[in-house]
This record gives sequence, structure tokens and C-alpha cells, in this order.
Amino acid sequence: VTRRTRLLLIALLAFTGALTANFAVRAFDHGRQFRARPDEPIQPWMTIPYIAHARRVPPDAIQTALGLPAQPPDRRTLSEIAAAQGRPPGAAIADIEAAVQRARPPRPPGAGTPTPGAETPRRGP
Amino acid sequence: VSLSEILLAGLANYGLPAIGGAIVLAALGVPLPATLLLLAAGAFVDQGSLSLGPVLGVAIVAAVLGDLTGYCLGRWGGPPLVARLGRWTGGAARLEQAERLTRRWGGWGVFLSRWLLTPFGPVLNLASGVAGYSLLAFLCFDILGEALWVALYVLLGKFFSDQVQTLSALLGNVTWAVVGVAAMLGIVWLLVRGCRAPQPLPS
Repeated sequence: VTRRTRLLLIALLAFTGALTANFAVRAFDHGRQFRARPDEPIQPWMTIPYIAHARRVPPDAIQTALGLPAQPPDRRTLSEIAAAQGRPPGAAIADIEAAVQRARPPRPPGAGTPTPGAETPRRGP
Repeated sequence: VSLSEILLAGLANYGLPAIGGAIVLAALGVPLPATLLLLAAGAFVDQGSLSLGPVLGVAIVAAVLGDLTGYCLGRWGGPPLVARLGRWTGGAARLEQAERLTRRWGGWGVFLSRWLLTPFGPVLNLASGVAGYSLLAFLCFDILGEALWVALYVLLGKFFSDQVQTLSALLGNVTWAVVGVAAMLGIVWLLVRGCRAPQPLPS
């Protein structure tokens, strides 16, 4: 191995190390976020049953909020529902967020700010 | 609209065919977010839109089919493809070196690149074919690795179905960090081997 090759390998090692450290830091951040279990952002690809399950609210509450009949279950994606109603998916998402807030039981008094180690209990496997 | 959104909307609308098609393409090296798709499929299983058994079966068969196609392209794709592969990987000498490594470590390389070092998967399929690695051994390690990958991600998506997007980002970064550590170990090995090799005498 020539001196030039060795220097190139050392530079490559430093570059790979920096990239790896970057990914490790991002993984650590996402791990902390995962442990805190925030509400998953609602996306246009999601269906009503999917959102209802993820946010733990009845599907009919979401269907009603979108101006749909409570039954039967609507299995279209949010973007399809919004397109059929002639409005952007963002407007439908805002309606769903409001409905989720209404449908969820109110927080007990004194449960304002979650403290470390006192997050919502993890739903086990 | 991002590629992920199109893929996930396809999963919500078409279910198993969307999973199968996307995973075959991803195994061939098309940059699709296959792990996010598997996590989301697990979430759909948890909320009752899909059944666990068919999801696991279709995903494993699709992944193995895609890998096998890559292997066959490498093995029987003909000299033009081999020459092109040689250019991509840094010349004929480098390709020969990769072939020797594949012959020596092929099985474990195939297994690990299915579920842990996933970015190497499509390249290793081609390299295994070019190196003439045993088809039977390739299939055995491939099926084991893909079954582990599919089961791991679908079950994680099922158990943490309300955190699919965060989990996907977390696992994606962990995978690249592991790939980075593997690459660093490889470079350190090259450096150590280079230091131990006898130095050429100045002429």
C-alpha cells in the first residue's frame, strides 16, 4: 500500500465516520421521539379506519367530521375523500384533528405537562 | 405528492398486490421505501384491513423473486452485463476481488444484507450471480434473511401501529449507521492489512 493510498483510506475513514455519526445522532433523536409517543401526523394516504386506530377514536366520529354518513365504514384514502369533496387534503386533515380533540376524553386535572418517565403507557405487543 | 405517499396510498387501496409489486422492484434495486411499506402493512394488519399470514407470505415471496431475478441477471446476463458491472464497481480487478469475497463470505453476506445491511442487498444479488455462487445456497440464505426482514418489520408495524412514520425514520437511520460502521470496519481492515504487507523497496 503506497503512502498516497493510505492517506486516501484515512480520509475515507474520516468521511465515513462523520456520516455514521450523523446517522447515529438522528437515530438517537428519533428514538427519543419514539419513546415520547407523540400523535402520528395525519397524512393524505391514510384511510379513516387507519386514522381512527392510530388516534384511538371511533371511526364514525371522523366520518361525521368529514361530512360523511357515520355508516358504512369508508375505506377510501383521505386524498380521495378530499378530492371527491373538491377541497385540499389539508382542510380534511384540519377537520379530523378537531374531531379527534372532541372525541378524546379530557385530560384529568393536573395532567397538563407530561413529565419524563410519565408518558402514556406503551401499548405492548 | 412524494413517492412514499403514492406507495402508501397504493397499499391502502390495493393491499397485497401493491406490497408484492413494490417489494419485487425494491429487491431489484429500485429506490422504493420498502421498509416503510412493511411497517405500514403491519399497521393495516393491526387495524384489521389486512391479514397477517397473506401479508407475510406475499412479501417474502416477492422479495425472494426480486433477489432471484438480480442473481440470474448477474449469472446469465452475459459478458456485456458483466463488463458493465465491472465498470460500475471500479474495473475488472475490483470485480474479481468482489467475486472472491462473495465466494468466501457469500452465504453470510447474503443473509445479513437481507435484513440488517439492506442497502447492499441488490448489489450482492448481482455479485453472487457474477461470482457463480451456488444457486441453492443463495436461495437458502436469501429465504432465511428475507423471512427475518419481512417478519421483523411487519410485526414492528403491527405492535407500534400508531408510530409507523417515526419508527420508519428511526429504523432507517439505524440501518445507515450500521452500514457506516461496517464500512469503517472494512476500511480499517484494509489499512491494517496494508501496514502489515511488505513495503516495496525503492528502486
